Amino acid sequence: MRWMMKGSGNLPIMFALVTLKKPAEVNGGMAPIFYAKDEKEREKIATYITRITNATVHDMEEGTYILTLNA
Amino acid sequence: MAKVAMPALPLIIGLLFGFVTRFVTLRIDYRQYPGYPAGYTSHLTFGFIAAFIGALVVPAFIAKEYTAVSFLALAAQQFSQIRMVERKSLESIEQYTLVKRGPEYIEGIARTFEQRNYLTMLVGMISSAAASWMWWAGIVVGLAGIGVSLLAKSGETIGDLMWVRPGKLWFERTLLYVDDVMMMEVGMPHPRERYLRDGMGVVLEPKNPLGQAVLWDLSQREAMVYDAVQMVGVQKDVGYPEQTPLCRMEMPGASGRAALSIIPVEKDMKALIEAVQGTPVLESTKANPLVSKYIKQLKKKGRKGAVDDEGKR
Repeated sequence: MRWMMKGSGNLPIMFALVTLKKPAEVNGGMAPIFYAKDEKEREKIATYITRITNATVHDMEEGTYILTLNA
Repeated sequence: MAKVAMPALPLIIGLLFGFVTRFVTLRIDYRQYPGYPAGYTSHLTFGFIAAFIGALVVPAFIAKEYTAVSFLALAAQQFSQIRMVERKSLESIEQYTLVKRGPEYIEGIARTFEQRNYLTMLVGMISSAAASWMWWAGIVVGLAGIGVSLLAKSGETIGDLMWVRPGKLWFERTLLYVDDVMMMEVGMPHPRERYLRDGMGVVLEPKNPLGQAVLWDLSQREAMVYDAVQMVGVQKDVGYPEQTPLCRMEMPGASGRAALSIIPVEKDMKALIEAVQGTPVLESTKANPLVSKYIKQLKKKGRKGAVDDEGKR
């Protein structure tokens, strides 16, 4: 448990998804999902959310960004 | 009971050497501490008081002023407050620092300040004790005390335990690497571009098992990152976690190597390496039982690399 108290923060929380996939392909889960129509829009949404919430963008590839929040 | 007059000369000699000890052990460098005039004043004042208390002990004993001696013990206890004061002030600064020292580094600094005050008191005491015997003996002992405290001042640094060399920053798709050490995942394209354009990386290779054990300690790596940031600066603002300077071990290979990545304000590799090498080895790292076992073994065997393959000692 010691390492959790030190360093930059606690465990990251899955905060949101931004994806190019269709709603039929990606759904459910605990985080809100934003559907983008192309890469430009996906990046725009991800940038906006990170500016608002201090979240970190991670590229899961195959069209999906996940946004995590280091509480 | 006839009172013996308290001799003034040992007191003066003890005070002088004690104060000089505090003065030479007070330093400022790129770690920026104390780094401001108020810090100097308060620490020199504390040092003066400590030297005075130390110098007073033996002459007070000689003059049979036992009440005075017991009061001195009380005053000495007050000096443990110094650690608390230092810790508090460093912690309050830390609130608005994006790259933090970490609690163990702060504790180490606070302890050092406290310890140097006791050192001051000790030098004052032994030199005044010697001066009570012969005045020139006081001067000799005082000079020796200053020499010893100068030696004690320079503890072990990272540069003693590991080689630090420049590393190449590169991306495997979105994963940031320094040489073969994976640092983190950078999702957006523009921080990746910035890393490739402005970023710097160094690789740390431990010289011996002790070095490796020190490197596995997270707070030690945080301290290195902090010192690197103090030296070359960092391009980081609130809400840009991708640009956090990091120091990570080579995983999952667990070869014991680590790497440090940073987007500096001033891209100066020599300065960065110097900062990493100059980071003090934290006391809390040494308190790790494995490490202290290694230290014992290293001292016993007198060679680098303490344990052979079967783990025999």
